[in-house]
Amino acid sequence: MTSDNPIVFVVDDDYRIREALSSLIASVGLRVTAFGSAAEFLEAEKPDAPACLVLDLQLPGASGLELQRELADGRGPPIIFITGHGDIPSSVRAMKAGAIEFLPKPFGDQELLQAIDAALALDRKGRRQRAELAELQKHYALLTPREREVLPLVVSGLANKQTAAELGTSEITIGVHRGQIMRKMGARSLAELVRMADKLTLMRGAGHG
Amino acid sequence: MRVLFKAWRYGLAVISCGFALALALPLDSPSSCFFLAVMVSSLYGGKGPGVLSVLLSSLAFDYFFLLPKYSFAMQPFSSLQFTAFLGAVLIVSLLIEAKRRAEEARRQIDVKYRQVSADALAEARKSEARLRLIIDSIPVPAWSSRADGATDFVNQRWLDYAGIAPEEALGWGWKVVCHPDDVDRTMEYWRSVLASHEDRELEARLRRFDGTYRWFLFRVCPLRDESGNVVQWYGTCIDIEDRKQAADAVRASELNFRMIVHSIPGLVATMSPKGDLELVNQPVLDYTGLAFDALKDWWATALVPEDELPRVAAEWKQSVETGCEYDVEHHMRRADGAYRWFYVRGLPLRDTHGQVVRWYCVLTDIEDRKRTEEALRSREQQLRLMVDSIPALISIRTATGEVETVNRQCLDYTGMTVDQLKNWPEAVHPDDRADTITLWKYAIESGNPLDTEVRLRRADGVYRWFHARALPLRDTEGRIIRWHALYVDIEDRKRAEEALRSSEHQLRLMVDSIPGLVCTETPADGVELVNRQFLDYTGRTFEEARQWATVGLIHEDDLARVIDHWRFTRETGQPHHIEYRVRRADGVFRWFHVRGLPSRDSTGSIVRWYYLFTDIEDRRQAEQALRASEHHLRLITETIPALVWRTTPDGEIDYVNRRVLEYTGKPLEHFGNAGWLQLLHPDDVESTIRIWRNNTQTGDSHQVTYRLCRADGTYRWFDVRGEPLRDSEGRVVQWYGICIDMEDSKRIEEALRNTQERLSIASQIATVGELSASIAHEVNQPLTAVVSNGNACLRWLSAQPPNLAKAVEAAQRIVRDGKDAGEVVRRIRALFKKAAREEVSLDLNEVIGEVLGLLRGETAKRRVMVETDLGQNLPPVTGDRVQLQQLILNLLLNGIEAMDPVTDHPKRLFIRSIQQPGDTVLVEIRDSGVGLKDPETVFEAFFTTKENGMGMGLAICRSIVQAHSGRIWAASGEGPGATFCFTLPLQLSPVS
Repeated sequence: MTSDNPIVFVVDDDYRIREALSSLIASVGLRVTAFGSAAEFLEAEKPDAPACLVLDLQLPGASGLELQRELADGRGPPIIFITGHGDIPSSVRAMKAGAIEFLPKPFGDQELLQAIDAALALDRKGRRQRAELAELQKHYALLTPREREVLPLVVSGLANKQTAAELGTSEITIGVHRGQIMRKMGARSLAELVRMADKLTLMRGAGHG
Repeated sequence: MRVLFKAWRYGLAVISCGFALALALPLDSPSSCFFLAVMVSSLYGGKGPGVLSVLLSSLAFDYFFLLPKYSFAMQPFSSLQFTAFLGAVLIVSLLIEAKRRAEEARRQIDVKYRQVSADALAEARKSEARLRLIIDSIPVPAWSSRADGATDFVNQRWLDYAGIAPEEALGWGWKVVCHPDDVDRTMEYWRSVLASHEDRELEARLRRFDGTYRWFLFRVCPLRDESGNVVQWYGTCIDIEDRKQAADAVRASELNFRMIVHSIPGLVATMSPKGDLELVNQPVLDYTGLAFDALKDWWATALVPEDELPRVAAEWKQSVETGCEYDVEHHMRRADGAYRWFYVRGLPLRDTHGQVVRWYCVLTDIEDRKRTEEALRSREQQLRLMVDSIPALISIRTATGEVETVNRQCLDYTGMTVDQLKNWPEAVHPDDRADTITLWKYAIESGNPLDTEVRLRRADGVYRWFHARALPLRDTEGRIIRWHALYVDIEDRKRAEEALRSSEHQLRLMVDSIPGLVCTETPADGVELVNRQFLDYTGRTFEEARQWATVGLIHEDDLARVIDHWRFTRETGQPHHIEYRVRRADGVFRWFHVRGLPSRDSTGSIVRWYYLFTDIEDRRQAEQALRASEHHLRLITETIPALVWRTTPDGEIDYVNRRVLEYTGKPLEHFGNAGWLQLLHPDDVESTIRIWRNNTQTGDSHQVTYRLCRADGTYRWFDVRGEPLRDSEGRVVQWYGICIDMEDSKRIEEALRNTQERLSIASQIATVGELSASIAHEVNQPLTAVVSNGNACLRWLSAQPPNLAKAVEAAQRIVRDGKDAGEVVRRIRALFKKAAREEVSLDLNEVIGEVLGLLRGETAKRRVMVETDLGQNLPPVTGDRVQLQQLILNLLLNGIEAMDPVTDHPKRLFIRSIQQPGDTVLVEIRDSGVGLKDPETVFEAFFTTKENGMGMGLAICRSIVQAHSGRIWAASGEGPGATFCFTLPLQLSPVS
């Protein structure tokens, strides 16, 4: 569990909370770094390791929710909100925006630590997926423009003949393209290619916002 | 057509015969049917068809009816029958033919006649139209009426003139335009014309369309038939208005002339060229008492006395013959028989050829003159006597100036004989001698009277002044035959005159130099004299001053009054005493007081009025201003909504205004003699008397509050102030005072204080309520830390091996944060505490810190950045901690809330405290919120920009600051947001 050396970030403007939480989290053997404001957190160097963020909802300057929005590009760590007010509208917003947990102060140590575990697990999974996608993209970058045109038609289930008619070329040429695509993408079967293309499309869709 | 018609006629004959046959066969009465057929054919067909029908009838009769039937052959009886039938038919046919012809002829004649009459009618119409045109266009109203007098036509001119419709004029309708005064006359005239059948004329007035009446001459003319009966009357109305007016004018002028002649107060007669009496005026008749006819033979009456008659007659005869003017004096007998002298003058009036047309004679009564003449003559003798006896010197000189004779007085005075006096210059004062001789010479040469003053020597050698007057006596041809000289002793008068002159000079000097306008007036001649000031002031000449009533010297509003008064004083002789406005040279009117006194002669009648005009404009203006200001002041005093009073120096009330009377419902008398004390509330009487006594003794202005009984018996609080009025020496002359009703304001003040107090508490609680979330946060923070630290501590302890150092750290933090939580709770309790006001020495920075601590949650929640700049070594102030906390809390909350809508820039709350010169501490709270629209009014109660605010927060702040003798204000700061500042004094003065 601790093999990949995960890290927990704490952002709270009250030093007493920072100290208390740092101590609590450290007591279960996790790395902890605490910040007094969102800005400090954003500026800080973050190690390439599974991470999660324990974030106070009310912060001077940029609030917790704002920080959450800023980190919502997918690369940010999962967030556990803690709050002294716990009003319903902000908690709903926080959860909608993908918060792992929303803990009203004061909270028990179990609740916090379990939330941290869940968040770290999620982050690990996310990190893995991001790595796979990066691999696929690397393969996809090898394709020529013509092959990128052919790929969607192939994965949509068209036969070579149909694809050729669609693109106004010969069946043989399409066959050659297809072979090249399979090779470059490292797909062992059409089914695998379809799955890859699916992921890429997702990724591309996400990328295009 | 014609052929067709002819065929039809013959056809008719055939058809009628056929028809007759058809009818005759069944009826078996052939003859009547055929007669009918022949009649019809002859009547409508004419001769040919008639013959044809006769023929056909005969044949048919023969064939069908005569035996043997259905054969033309005849039996002997039948032939007789046939002949009879034929004859009858022929006769019928011929008769009918004759009738038809006659009819035809008549018809033709008829047609011809009709044509002729139509032509005649057209001709007649044409001529009638022409006539009508003529009648309508002749420039005279014309009309016609029937024999019975009813009008049946009026022409257009008539209608135009009268402006009525033709129908209205017809019959007797024209009467409406007749002048009401003339209607009866006109009707009578018209009846007489109708009765006599003679044309006559009448003048009557007719109304024009515009309502004016004009005179018309009516002429009427009868139209008679052969037998001489009147069938129609024709009349015209000729406008004679102008002629009438001219005639009237002539008549009027004649009447006028006659009136003049009759009314002149002289005797006038006119005669024919031959001398026959034509006319005499009334005075002649009145005087002589004779009838005009008797006067025609005046010489035969005793009008002129017998002894004068021949002379008069001769003169008159001569004048008539020669045409010379007649000019005679003679006696004329009056009605009562007395003779009086008359001067009779006759003038001939000639025509263009110089022929005498008429004599005009005026007879003037000269009886009185004549008598006078005679009296004079008889008195001459007496005069001679008088000459000698009058107390003056008289000398009679020849035409050349030599002394001829003198009266006795002359001899007596000079002591010289007549002969000695021939050398008269001897008697004249040497200084006057040369002048006198020259004057005499001049008088004798020119014939002008001599008038001089000269000194003559008395017998005793004393020279005395004489007034010498000499008049020439002329003969009938105007030549001077003698000089009469009169010397009147004027020595005494001369002396008096001289004395008078010198005194008058002095007087004039005096009059001209007194600073007033002076004017004298005599009852007879009006203004006699005005002084220089009068002329200078009015800028008028003396002549204008004499016309004082008409030259605008006196203001027109005053003039009538002045003249009335002037008349009154003139009539009664009472002193003149009046004020009025007199116009200055520059046109400005100034008020003058004019006094006039009469001076009387020994008999007591007024000989002269003396007037003195004193300029009182300034005094009058001052008076007016004073009066106006007094009125104004009185008005103010009576109307100000306060009770006003005045007392004598020793405190006796001698005046109260209307409001006092109204309020107390007591009359003024009630207040005197310390009566007003009875109106005071019994509890206030003693203190009031004490203060009042003290002040009347010292003269200090006083102020006291007491309850005063209103008319309805209720007591109300009054704020009473009195001020002394002092004379120039500082003595109190009077006390003036007012009582202001402060019952209401006192009540309101109290109510306000109560309300504010309650509001302050309410607001405190409301604030706390509002802050509850923040307070919860404040408590939560340390609690969260405590819980987490506790958990951490447990974990450190239960770790293998236990990390004691970390556990201790965590436990230490628990203790620290627990204390924090306790502190928070303590501060909240302080807020809730409704403790009595407690004055303690405070460090304002500490108070600010406490409040900021309380607000930390709120600022965090709203993401407000709090910055402070708290002054070092701030001296303490005195005040109530809780109230000051409340003050700062309110101001900070106000700032935080003002920044709620802000999204485009950071929310900054800046707090500064600093010691200021003048021993005050300034606290400034600046936000970057929406700012203030009107910094002046934000402290008003219920002023709010917030949706849910009560608008009390800042009002409470103000009352807190004021209770601490501080000052609070607001300003829209630089950049966004507002700034609130308050100052508190370092050393508070004790608050009552």
